[in-house]
Amino acid sequence: MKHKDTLRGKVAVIGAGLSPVGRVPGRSPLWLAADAARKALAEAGIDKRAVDGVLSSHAFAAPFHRFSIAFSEYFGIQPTFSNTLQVSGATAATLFAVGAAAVAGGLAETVLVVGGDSLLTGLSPDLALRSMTESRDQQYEMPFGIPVSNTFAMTAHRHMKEFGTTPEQFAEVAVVHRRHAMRTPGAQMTAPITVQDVLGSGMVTSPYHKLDCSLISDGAAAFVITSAERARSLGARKPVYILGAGECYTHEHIFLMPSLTTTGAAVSSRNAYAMSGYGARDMDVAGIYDCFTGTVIMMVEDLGFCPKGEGGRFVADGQITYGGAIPANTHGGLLSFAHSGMPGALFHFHEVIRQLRGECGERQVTGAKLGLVHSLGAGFATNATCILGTEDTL
Amino acid sequence: MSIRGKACIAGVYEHPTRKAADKSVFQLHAEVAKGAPRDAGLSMRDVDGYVCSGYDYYHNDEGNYHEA
Repeated sequence: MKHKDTLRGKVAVIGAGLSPVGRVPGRSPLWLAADAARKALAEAGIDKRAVDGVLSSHAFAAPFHRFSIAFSEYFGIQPTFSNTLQVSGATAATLFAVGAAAVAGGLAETVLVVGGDSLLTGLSPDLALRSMTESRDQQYEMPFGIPVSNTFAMTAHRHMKEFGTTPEQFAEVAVVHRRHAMRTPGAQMTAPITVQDVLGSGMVTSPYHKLDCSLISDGAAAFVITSAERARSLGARKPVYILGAGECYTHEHIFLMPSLTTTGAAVSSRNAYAMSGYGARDMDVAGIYDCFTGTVIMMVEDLGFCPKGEGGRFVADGQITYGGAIPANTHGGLLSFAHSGMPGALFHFHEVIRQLRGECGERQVTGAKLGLVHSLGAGFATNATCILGTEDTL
Repeated sequence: MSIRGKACIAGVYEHPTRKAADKSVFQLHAEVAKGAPRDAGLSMRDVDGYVCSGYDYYHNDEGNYHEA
């Protein structure tokens, strides 16, 4: 690392909360976010008046220019540190990194990290499509109608060409995620599926079929983070420590992506591992952004779980589930648990934190002590990684 | 724990332009972003972070985000 004085172990997550997810009609993004925040604070055992920092993602269905401020008003608090971060799907991990930096730097003592949106019932189909196309460049991409899904699909095609990755291997990712979601209370999709089901589910954007694509959901998640010292003085039960964080931004336009098959995740994870003092092989569990099945295959390579080009074989060999090299997205991920937009990867954080606290019941990865969460967005333009660990790993 | 005295402003640059009908927002950003490291005696290779203000384009109903 370039910097000796890092965040490692200075900040802990002391509470986590989830709203209902999936189809949650009649509930606004603010309601969902507040519901998750109430649960996170209850778990942390602190009153909302003890929160002095609020960090959030944006919400498409509640288009406040300042969601974190609107949330604070709705929730009845007046924080002295707040911001609404926006690096698309990678926002989740940056909320933890920036929140941890704020706590470590004394800008806030107790930060509520929160994100909520209602993409399924809060947006008309027109607005939902607009939200996808208008996130692309106004001059070079949007006029041609390229939604963000097509940018990811192009990278998958390139991966197939360079490394021989197959549609069956992509489909296997969806099958594993569905199997995980079947054991997760409240998951949006729990009917079992097969590789043939995925391949027969209709082409959305080649090579991705409908079941290769993540869900559209309502839902929110929230977390309470504070200094390791304060976590101890509060007597927090099983705090989970932020051991490392890294980000990397390689491009904005898909036609300027430096490589279509090696992403900024290789850099963001390398920096996060370096800060944590651990490597990929030390991780017990992972939350890997799974907006599409092929995304997971590329990420297990870039995050260092297998060599470049072997991701397809890795997932088909059962390496991303129980008994494999790195059980990933044990809640079912964006593919089967829920994907409410920018808060999507907060669900991965929620699951990895529950795993590290040993609270996952029949989904528990035995003895999980170290976990990685990687969030990404905008056709791999944005990448952010966090390494989390139990007290034993400090 | 505090950020007091831990960071410093090493370079600054203010764009001389006040009316930039011929420049895009990106170009203005690029020109000031180039000026500040130069003032600090640093090159772009020394920069590993970039933070900027800007309009939140997701919520601009006018659709004219890149207008200069």
